[in-house]
Amino acid sequence: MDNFLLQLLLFCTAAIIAVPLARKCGLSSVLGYLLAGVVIGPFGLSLMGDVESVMHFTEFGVVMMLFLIGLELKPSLLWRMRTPILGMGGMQVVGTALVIGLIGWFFVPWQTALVVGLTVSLSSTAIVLQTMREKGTMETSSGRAVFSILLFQDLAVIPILSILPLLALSSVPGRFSSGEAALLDISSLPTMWRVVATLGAIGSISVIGKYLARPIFRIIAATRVREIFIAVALAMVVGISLLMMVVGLSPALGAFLAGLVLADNEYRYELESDIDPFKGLLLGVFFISVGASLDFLFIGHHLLLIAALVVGLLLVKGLILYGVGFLFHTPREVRSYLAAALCQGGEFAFVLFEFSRSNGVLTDKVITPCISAVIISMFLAPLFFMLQERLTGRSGNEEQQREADAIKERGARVILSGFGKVGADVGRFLLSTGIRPVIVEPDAGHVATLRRFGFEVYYGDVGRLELLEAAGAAEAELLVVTDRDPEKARALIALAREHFPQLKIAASASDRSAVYDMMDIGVSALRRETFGGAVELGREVLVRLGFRRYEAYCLTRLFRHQAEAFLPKLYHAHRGQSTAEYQLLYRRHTSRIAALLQARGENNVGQNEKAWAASRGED
Amino acid sequence: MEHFLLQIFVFFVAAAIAVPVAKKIGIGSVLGYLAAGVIIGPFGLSLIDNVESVMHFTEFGVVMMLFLIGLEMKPAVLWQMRNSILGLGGGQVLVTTLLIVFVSVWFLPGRQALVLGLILSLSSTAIVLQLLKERGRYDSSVGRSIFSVVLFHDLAVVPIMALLPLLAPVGTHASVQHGGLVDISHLSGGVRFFLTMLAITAVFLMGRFVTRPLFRAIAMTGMRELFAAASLALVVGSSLLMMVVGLPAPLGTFLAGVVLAESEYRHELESNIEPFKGLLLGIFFISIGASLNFELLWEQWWVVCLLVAGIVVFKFVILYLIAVLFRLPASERGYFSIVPAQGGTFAFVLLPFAVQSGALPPLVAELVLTAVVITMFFAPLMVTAWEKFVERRVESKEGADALSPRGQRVIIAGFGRLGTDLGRLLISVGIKPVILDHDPVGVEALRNFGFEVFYGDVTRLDLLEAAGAAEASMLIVTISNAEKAKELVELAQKHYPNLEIAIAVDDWRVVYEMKDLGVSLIRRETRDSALDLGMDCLKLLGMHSYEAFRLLRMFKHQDLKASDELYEIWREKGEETFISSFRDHNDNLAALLQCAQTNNREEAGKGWASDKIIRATGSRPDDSPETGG
Repeated sequence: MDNFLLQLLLFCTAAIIAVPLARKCGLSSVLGYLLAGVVIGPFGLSLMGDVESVMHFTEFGVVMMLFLIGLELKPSLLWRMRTPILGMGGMQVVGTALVIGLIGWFFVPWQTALVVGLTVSLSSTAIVLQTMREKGTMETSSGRAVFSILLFQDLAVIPILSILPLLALSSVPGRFSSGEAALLDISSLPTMWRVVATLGAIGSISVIGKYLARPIFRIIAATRVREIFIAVALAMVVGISLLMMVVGLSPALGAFLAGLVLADNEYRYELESDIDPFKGLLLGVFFISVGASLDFLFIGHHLLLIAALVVGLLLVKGLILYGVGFLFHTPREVRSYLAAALCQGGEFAFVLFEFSRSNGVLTDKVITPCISAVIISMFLAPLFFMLQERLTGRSGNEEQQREADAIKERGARVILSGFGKVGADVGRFLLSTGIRPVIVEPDAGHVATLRRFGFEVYYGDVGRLELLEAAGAAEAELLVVTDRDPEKARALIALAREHFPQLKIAASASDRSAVYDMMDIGVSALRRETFGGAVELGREVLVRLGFRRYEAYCLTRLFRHQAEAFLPKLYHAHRGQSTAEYQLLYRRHTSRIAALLQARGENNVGQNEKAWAASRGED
Repeated sequence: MEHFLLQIFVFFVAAAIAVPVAKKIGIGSVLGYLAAGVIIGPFGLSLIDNVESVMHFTEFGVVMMLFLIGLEMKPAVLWQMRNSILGLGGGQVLVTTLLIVFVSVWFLPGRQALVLGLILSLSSTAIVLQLLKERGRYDSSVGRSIFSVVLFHDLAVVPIMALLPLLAPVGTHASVQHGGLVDISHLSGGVRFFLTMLAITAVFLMGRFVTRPLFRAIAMTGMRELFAAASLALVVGSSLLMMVVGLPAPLGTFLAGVVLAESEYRHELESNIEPFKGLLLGIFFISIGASLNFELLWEQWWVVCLLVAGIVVFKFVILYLIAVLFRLPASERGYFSIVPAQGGTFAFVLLPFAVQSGALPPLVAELVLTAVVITMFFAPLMVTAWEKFVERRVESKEGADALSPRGQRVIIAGFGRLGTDLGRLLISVGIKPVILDHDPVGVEALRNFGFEVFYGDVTRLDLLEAAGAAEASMLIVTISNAEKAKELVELAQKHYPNLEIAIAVDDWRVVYEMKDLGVSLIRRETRDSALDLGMDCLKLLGMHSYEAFRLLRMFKHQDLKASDELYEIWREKGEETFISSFRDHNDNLAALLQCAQTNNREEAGKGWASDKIIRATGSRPDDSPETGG
């Protein structure tokens, strides 16, 4: 027990130190785990006990991960992306596996070469998705192409797991494929029955998932004992894995199927959030143990071999990805992005190598250099992202080129810059009152939509002087600035002040610091864009909580006035004094408002309210 | 591996069947677990083996539970309760021990009698707390009295463990507690004392100064499992530290919990440890059920019966006397005495310890163990029976005053730009919302501004639970991410149907999606400020401020009225019709507002004067942004 706790503490501590550090350096969390493993492993501080058995145990995290992947896959999304997924993804995986298999055939038997090819054809979902999310390239066309290939790779793991045992050279009884004494052994049955049993198992998963899961979850949820729900969720994953082991299929496959079947279940989110921490911890420890099992002695002795493997892996994958992009007629940038993003090996390689080891498909002699190469390629992954960015320049700005619309209108009193969420409401209101502002919006796509809705909006960026002139700034009375980007808004206001001093300026600011910035320049009217909404929503909330409507109205009005009256003081404090003093002032201000409102509230309830209610017949 | 999976499967399935059944019959989940244990244990279906080691392992659930208890316990509260903890708890342990020693000294040697008395005086924290929580009495006054008794028990384990080896007849100092760890028992007394103090100080200092920056760094990575790892490391680390210095692990984690009770990461920690604790504790109870030795029970049934009756009756009587002595209200005395009237979980820890250190012979230990299990088995039954037959429970008044508007519980999910202002308003009015936000930097900044904000991902049910969604009356969602907001609303609607939901969204499409979900209070976050800005514009253009305000109000009113119709059209007729209706709506608005202006101008000419306006709005027109809905 103590020993177990000590090991657990060790793993957790290593992870919570290494992973944030890795993230800080711009590496992915998987690499952080691997590093932690290296540090506490036999070539580092040698703190770990039995690495092998830890790895076997935590492999179960992979089963859970596939369950979660299944749970998150929406059939509609799959269907919509079927061409890129099957086409690009399929071609990439098959192509890479074949090419690497062919090259490997010169050195090792073809089965081994093929297994290695399949394994390293997969890229690192964790690293790539995370990097793309950080760089904000998920929604670009390159991002979508990368995502569909990754999705195919995630799915490809399942068939690969099922094929692997067939490619075994020697028949070692597998850990997953045949049961121990604890389980039923169906391998003694005739083939017919085995097929029937296998089909029956898969059938029962889908039947249970479709028809039984819902009532069971409902009963469990009704007990309102949280841990029972978790127990059931875990029992389900464990049970399916056991069932799959009995019929000789991979537990990952069963878990994935179960996830798919349950994807439209109403308890999906609960299942997800219950299994997720266990999966996260198990996988984390799994990666740590992979890091700890890295054989540095071996790497040191075979530096050349490993370097060749790394370069070969990156080259082959990169070229094939570029070719796939070429075949599917993607733009040049997308091709190079694909090659740079996906050329590394992935974390599934650890799983598949481990699986092949225990099934006797691959020997340690093959696995050790390959795993080292995969890990090194993963370390290099962020480099390739940077390199690609350098080479192609900033990506995804295709729309910048469009020329600004020519503004035909003359003599408008008001110029409205930005017709986004804030601008649209301001504009609609002004239009309704009969004032026709010149509206300039910097987002071309948005302009098209707005025109469909009947708004006369010009595309362009008023931050440029000539456009401001074209919009009639010289004759106009008022400039309304509602740009979301505070920098742009400030630049625009400064420009207007300088060149058109007669122009009054009204502006919305996104947050407090933007408000202070605008107060620096001096604008005639200033609103914080969410303040009004907050106060109005707050008033409705008070009403629902049982305050009388009039009382709520008085309180919110008082609040609004106090906040507005105090703004200049806060502004001076923010500009003139230290952060601590500003915070202190803010706290004092808040408590002063509270005292005021509570006094007012009590007063109100006490006397005024009665009179008001009586005279008005309150609801 | 397979064997392990199979065992887990058996445990979980047994729990999943037994607990809902137990709840259905109206007995608590603890009894459900115990029953499940009997069924799958060696005297039932014999589906599990190695019960001892399972029990030993899952005991860690108790440690986690004490961490969670500590987390809910602010130091100030603990200090407030010092009298009842020492008085009620201390009195009970002392008197019970003496009485048991007095009785058992007839059958056993004096030292063994003392050991037995000490062990049996403790009640089961796990069972008691679970009972209180399930019956919703945890926060009542009797609940607090009971809690202080069992809290004293938890603390009393420390000296008892230290005492046991001294009571052994032969000097066999077995260090069962420390296996692979540093053993400090050979050090001199002074050094050991110093180390012990050092360990406690270390836990305290860690909790106070190290954890916050650490958790912040981890929260910044945005990886949930890392936070879970950190929470586990904290619990495991503090319990290991305690084991090294020879103190019980629960004490260390309890301390760590108390220190962290005021941290912004409290709810997140709670929701991370909770699932592990729940599962471990559940399996622990199952293994207790499975370890019942029916053979021994059969052979020595009268001894066991006497022991069971003795434990229950002694404890009940003594607790009742103490309740009288400490002037607990008469209506609470019975409940106070019946709930802790059983042997404790610590008996499972202390009895083997006593046997190993030679303080008790094995046969006695096993008999006592069986008796303790039986009393624990009966505990939920007794409490249920007590509630059913003895206690005529009148709903306490505590529930009633929560209904006043200022005492209601509100949860604010998301404390960004809009949330902050809304929260300030509610706090100013005197409502104390529970505020949750998922941005660690923001949370820290807001804490500096004096807001009590907790870090956490609200779209997780366990965090909502920890924040008290079950008792809250309103959930205000101000998360800017629409997907997350939807997820949260669905989750809240499903699990807390009584919770009213208010939401601020950033886009009209999201407004419609929320309407699909049936949320009644939806606001677009920038709309009001935008219209206010529009009003400012009119004023800057020279319009009279009352007229600008009137136009604004008219616009708001008409726009709100039309939004329901537009929503229907959007849902039923498709986008093309929606666009054309939207254009129509805009034209109508323009016509209306322009007509109002010309009217006004004409009327103003006739001298339609300001005194009427004052009467109509109840205030000076200039400063009232809006009246009515």
